[in-house]
Amino acid sequence: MITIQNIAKSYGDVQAVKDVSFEAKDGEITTLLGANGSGKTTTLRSICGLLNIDQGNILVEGTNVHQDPIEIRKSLGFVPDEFGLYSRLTAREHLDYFAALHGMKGAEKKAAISEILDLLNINDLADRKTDGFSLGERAKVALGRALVYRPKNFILDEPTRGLDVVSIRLLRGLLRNLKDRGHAILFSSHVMAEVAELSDRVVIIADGHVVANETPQAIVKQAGTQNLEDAFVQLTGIEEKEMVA
Amino acid sequence: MMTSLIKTVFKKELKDTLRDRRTVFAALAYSFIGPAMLLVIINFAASIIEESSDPVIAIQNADQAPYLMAHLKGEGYEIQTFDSDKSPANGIGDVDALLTIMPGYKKALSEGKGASVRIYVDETKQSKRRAAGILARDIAGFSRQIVDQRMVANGMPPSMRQAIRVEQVDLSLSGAQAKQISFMLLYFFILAPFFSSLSVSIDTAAGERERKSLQTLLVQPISTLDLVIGKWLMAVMFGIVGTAVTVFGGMNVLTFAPLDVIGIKLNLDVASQVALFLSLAPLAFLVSSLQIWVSLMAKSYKEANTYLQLMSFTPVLIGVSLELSGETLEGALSFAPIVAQLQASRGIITDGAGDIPTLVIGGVVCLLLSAIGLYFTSKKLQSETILSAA
Repeated sequence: MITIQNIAKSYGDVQAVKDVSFEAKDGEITTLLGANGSGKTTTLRSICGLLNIDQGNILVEGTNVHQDPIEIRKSLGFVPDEFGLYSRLTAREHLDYFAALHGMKGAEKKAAISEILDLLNINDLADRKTDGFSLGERAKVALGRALVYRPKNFILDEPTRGLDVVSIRLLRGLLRNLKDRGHAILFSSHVMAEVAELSDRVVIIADGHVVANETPQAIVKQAGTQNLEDAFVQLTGIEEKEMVA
Repeated sequence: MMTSLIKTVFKKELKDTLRDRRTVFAALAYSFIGPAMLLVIINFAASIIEESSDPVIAIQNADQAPYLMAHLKGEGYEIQTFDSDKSPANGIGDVDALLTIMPGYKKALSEGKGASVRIYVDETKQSKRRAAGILARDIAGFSRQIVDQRMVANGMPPSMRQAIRVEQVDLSLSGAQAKQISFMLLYFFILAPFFSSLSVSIDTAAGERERKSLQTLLVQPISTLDLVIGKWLMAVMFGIVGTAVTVFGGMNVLTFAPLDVIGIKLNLDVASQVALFLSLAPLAFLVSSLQIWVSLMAKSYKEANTYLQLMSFTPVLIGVSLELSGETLEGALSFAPIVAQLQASRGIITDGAGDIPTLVIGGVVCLLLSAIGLYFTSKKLQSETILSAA
């Protein structure tokens, strides 16, 4: 479980996150929704311990991220928006490297890699260098890299960006599977249909504040709109800002 | 003792780098191509020096001018005989110039008249043109001697013949040339650690940022120090291998170089090779550490490459400054990186023995500074600014 308590983060004079609190519970898919520059990526990076927050607390499995970042990272699987693969390594070597960084060895490591290759259906890609992989294939390797060491919690920053329908369906199935196994999943997305279908809870961030933290249905009801997209636009005030601009 | 995480990073970095042919080629190009280029440069230098050595000339009708022959031999000419019946117009062979003693030479001299000689030369070749000029100057000198003798015989002092006496002194001593080439060789060896790990350091640091893979790596349960050490060891390996190939390859290649023609005497035995390698190896540790640190400061591969190319000039700048000042640094400064290696290496290849304290303390200083460099690099990886292009 990931708990965010009143965090704030500034870059010089710019306050990217002003006051954000929410929980990503085990066995749930929590989605972070917000316009560009709303503070989503800053929040996700802070959870991973890549950024030092100015105030508040971030707890992963009850432990403060900044007290023991190395230990916390053992329970975090992170898929960034830029997949960042090593073009000269094969898919299998990617999984091997990240499993080894998490202390896996020998038969345990081999079994974990084999399981991920099966789960993502990428056995035919396993021994090919990732240079030349399609976006979907790259996404699968990035996902496998975060899954192979069996973390308890997953953080995905816009994982479906640029993926084709088949890859998106596979990703959805995978996230549901992880949720059913009791993992906490936190991801950010811009695709409303996907958010509405997948999320157990949606956290909407605008101007560094949480403006909604409910189930998709409750948010739609709260905003009094027809769908999540309209609710998002109304709650974040994006339309008004655009009109003023 | 290498921890298993450092080993994991090292193995991955090594595998990744060895698969990049361009990076590997760039890393080892200096070590493999350098010695061959060195041989070419030394051969070229030797050929220039050989060209400026005593001219080889042929003489036609030499029996007509025995005193002139004796004079030219005394000046150091290598003299060949040219057949009296052959026409110079058909070629004069490989000699620099042909000197033909013209008919009536002997008679004209004995009667106190002007005797004629003719110089044939291929003026399209600079070295032959130069040799012909020297020959003409030397014959003119011989002519002056005869005139002086005639003046003395007629009761006149020879000094009357010359109102101004010009003397020209050749300062292009072979010793100075040899010294310059010795310094060039020293730079060639000391630059090896810089060029051998340059491309791999950039790839492992700036490349990681450019590929956008650094962010994912920093979220893994490995300390930034372990991460940096793993990458550094891989770069050090290239630095050490490159330095070894350059030193052992370069010094063995030098045994085939015409060093005696240039006037250089170097110690190229196995003991000197090992000593030179040991004096430069600590520099490979420091250079790799600095190269990774600088590469991480850069936002792209290209930017890092520019900085590191500039950094590679440091040994030459330090070396030239030391040479221009004409001083040998003593005290703490003599143990500074590059200074210590330059001074120790010079002793090894010229005198056959390096200054052991300089070599050892200089090496330890390099290793300590490497550790400091690694510490700062690991701190840089913890800073938020590193994510700006990660």
